[in-house]
Amino acid sequence: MLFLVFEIDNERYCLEVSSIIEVTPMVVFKKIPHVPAYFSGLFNYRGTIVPVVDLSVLISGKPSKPFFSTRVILVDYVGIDKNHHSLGLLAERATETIFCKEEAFQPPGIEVDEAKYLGDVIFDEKGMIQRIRIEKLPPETIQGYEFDALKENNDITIL
Amino acid sequence: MKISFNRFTILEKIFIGSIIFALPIIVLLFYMVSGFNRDIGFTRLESCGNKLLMPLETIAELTPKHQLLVRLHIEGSTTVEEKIDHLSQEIEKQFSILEKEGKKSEDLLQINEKSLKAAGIEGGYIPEIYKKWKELRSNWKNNGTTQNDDAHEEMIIRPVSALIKRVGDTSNMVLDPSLETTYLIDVGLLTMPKIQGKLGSFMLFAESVIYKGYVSQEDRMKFAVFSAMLEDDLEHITQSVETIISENKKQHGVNTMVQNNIPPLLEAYKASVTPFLFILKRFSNDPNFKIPVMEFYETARNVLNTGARLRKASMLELQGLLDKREKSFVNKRFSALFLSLVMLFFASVVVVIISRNITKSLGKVIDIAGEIASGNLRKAMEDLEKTGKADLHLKEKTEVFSENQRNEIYRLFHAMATMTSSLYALLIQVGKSGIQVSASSSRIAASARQLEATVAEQASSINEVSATSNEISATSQEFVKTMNTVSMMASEAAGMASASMSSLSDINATMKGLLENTTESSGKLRVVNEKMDNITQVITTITKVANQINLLSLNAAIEAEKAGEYGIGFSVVAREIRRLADQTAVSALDIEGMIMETREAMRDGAQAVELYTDQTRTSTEKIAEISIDLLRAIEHTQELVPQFESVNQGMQMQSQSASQISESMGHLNQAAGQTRDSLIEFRGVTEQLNAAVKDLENEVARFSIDSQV
Repeated sequence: MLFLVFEIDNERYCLEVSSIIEVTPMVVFKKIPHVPAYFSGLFNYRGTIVPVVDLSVLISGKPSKPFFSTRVILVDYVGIDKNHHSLGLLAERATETIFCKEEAFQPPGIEVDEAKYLGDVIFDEKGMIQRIRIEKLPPETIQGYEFDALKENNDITIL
Repeated sequence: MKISFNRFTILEKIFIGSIIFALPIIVLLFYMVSGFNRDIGFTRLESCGNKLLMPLETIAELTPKHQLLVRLHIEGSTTVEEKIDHLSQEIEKQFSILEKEGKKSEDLLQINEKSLKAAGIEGGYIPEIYKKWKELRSNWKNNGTTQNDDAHEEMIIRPVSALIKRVGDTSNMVLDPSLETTYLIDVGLLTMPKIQGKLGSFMLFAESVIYKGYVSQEDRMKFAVFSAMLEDDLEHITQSVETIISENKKQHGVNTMVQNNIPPLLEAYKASVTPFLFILKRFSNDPNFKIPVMEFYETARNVLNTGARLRKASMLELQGLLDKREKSFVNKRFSALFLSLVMLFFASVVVVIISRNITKSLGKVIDIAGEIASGNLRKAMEDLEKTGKADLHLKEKTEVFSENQRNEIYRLFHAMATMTSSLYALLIQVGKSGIQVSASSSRIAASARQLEATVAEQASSINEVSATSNEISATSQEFVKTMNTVSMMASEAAGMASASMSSLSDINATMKGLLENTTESSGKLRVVNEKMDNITQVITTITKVANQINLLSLNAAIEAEKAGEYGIGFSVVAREIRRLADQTAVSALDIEGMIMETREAMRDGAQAVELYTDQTRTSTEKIAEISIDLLRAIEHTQELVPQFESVNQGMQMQSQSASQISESMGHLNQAAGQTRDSLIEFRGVTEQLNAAVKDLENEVARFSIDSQV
């Protein structure tokens, strides 16, 4: 299986390629007031409004640095309403892919209720890489919040 | 004697004094009580006598009546037998009373058989008389007139009147102390019985005269004498009764038994005597006067009866008065004795209280004095305050206590309190003074020690000064020499300064050249900076391209993966493209930071060069200024040379002065030595003073005047 590798606060994480729609460079986001800090704003992806979550804020509490390598990873996932949604994830150094088998992953041994999206761990010559479980991301309360907010504010249903 | 008396305590002395006082009082009491007892005995004796005399007198009165009736009976008058019986019963009754009273008081009145015999009154013993009477009573009918007369006269009337006389003597009736009772005795016991007796006898005589039928000359004389005598006696009785009444009024007030009973009886007696006297006078004056026997007899009997009533009443009153007197004597004795004893008891209690008060107070004073003596002054003062008799805080207000000043105990306590507080104040004063003196002397000693040290220091300082001034003297001489050298060197320096001025001009020129060079290099650096910017732009562009390629390849790889088996080849291409891009800008992603750093470094370099240029410029200016200053300094140096000469002269003079100072210091040092010796002596004296003060403090400390000063 192929995984996209990226860094957050100098730690490496990976994401299954099968769930990724596209990787795009970082642009200026439309800011939305009164939303949590990890919610970077709205992003026009080929005529579709996509909400963007800054993984760096979510995981380490610091915003991503404005490097060339800082990119938006567009992912597709099934929400609580059983529909497919697009979501932008902002991450640093999203330049590498890694190929490895599903069996190579090992459980981390520690699981936190607040961060269920942090999954199993593999390692290569440069160190350990933790897998992000897209189905658990972002947390369900936040999911609901996001979509409700979008419905109310913009009256746009993302299907 | 005096010494042995002093051995007793005050309490014992007071007791001894009280006993000495009590002794005569008790003796006086004894005499008083015995006087009362004597009076009571006297009165009792009179009372007994009176009681005995009453039946005796009655008997003495009734017996002649009996005799007369008996005679009448014998002469033929049969009607009188009943009267005789009646009279006998009366006499019998009196005898039984007499016997009873006689038994009670026969020893007291000396009328027992033995003492009567000793006094020559044979047959006067009461039981004997009674026996004789009984004989007469049973035998009178058998006897003749003469025998009966004898029996009445000899056996009864005479012993009875002897006994009356005897009882009158032994019962001290005549010695009666009161006028009232004396006259009552006179009336009841002396005069009335006498009259009654005489009247009884005279009646017998008169009866015989009347029976005879005619009155002789001699008989008439007898009638005249008797009437005169009766009149006289009546007068006497009247006067006596008057005296009795007036005395009774004086002693017992008005409306008493005596005043109520006696006068009516006297009046009745007088009223009965008057017709009898009239008859007697008729007999004496008229030889032919005739009167029936019974009429005469009735008149006489009337007189006898009223007389008997008067006598009886008098005697009863006498008895009452005697009883009263006895009772009053007994009461007086009791009250006198009771009052005396109560007073004696109270006096003893008062003495005991006073003496206890004194000894208690004295004991307290002694305790307090003991406490003062043992030095426990605080306790002594507390005890004094506790007594409350001496106020320690009011010692100035002595006049206030004038009321209490008569009380010796108060005065003693007050004196004690004054003494204690004075002593206390004195001790506190002494203690305070001692502490002060001690502190002062300690301070003096310390000062002396300090002074001594100071003097020693001074001496050493003087030595040092002396040495230093010597050194100064030497140094200043050396200094003179050195000054000469300096003077010379200054001249030389002036010459050399002129030479250095030309060198300075050279430096100035060199600096200007350096400034020009620096400005040039600064300009060059700026050019480098511009070029660097260009490089940065190029690198940025390259990086952007590489980035784009990377992104492209990444998306390609993702798409290839999604395509599955069909995308495998494409995936390989994508990976190769990405590798190319990575090689193109190997670290382009990271270089973006490095370029910024380089640019910043370049900018810093340019700034540094500019700063250096500025500094060089400033240095050049400063060098120019220094050269001007140096010029001025050279001028001053040249001016200095002549001044050094004058300094040199001054130095020489200073050297001389220093030698003089050194000598003076030597003298001063000697003086300081003497001062130190004196101070050592002074310190010795101070220590002695201190020791003396300590002794004084110890002595004072023996008295506890503790914290509350």
